[in-house]
Amino acid sequence: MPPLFLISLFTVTGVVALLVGLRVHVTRSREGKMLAFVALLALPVIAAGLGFNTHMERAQSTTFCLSCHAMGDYGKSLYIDDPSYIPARHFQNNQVPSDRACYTCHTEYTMFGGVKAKTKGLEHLWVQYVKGAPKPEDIKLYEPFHNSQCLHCHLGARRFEEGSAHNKVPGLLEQIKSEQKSCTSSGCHEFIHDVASLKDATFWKPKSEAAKQ
Amino acid sequence: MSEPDVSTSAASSPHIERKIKWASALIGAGLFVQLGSFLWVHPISFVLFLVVGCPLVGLGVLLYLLSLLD
Repeated sequence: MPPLFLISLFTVTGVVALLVGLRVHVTRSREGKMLAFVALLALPVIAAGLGFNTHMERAQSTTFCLSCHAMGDYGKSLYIDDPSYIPARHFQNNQVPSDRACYTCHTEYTMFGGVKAKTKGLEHLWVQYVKGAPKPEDIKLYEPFHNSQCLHCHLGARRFEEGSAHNKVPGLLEQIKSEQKSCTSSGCHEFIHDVASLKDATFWKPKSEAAKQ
Repeated sequence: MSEPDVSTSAASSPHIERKIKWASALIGAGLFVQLGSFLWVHPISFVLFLVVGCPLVGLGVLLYLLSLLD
């Protein structure tokens, strides 16, 4: 739910705007003109701006991403009980914020990364409702997963910089950092969502959820 | 000679008032749609906000601004 402040702002703005329309004769006085300016220009613009900002923030939430049917299996894959599955390991160990699990790894960390992700999101809506959604296992990334999205957090971390696997070959670390060697598709961290094999997987049940049952 | 009273405008034509009424209705409808879009965390609600709510509010604001020019 949006903050109470936002709901109040929209309600008050709407009511005042409608009242100005219903009692339009008040706009004949100077005070009425000022009221009309606030009710029909200033407040609606502020409300719409804050509303847009709220929607942009909500669009980064895990709930938002998984609200599309085609993404359901990808959400399920975050609970695979196998640490070799990279998204599952990150999600289950709070290495990504659980409420922004998808967005944390699937947006580019550039100035307009978020905007680019939203534009792509609008394309996904078109595919979902007009062209017809593909099967979850047929959904592919537009381009190979960039190391920069991993390095945003891992670069400089001791475990990454000094890890034996990353240093077993001279120059390997530099190849990873310069995107010459992919973290995910070079055979090192190759288990990602792998939704095609979900039916054979076992799943982790968080203690909080297990206690509810 | 007394100054004309600028605080009230008897010349506020029905034409201007009609525009303000329409502006108010459009803005009210737009804000209602935008408020409704917050009830549901889904891409469709974002599109509803952007494609229906924002143009309604925008059109209302534009109409109000046009009424100022009359």
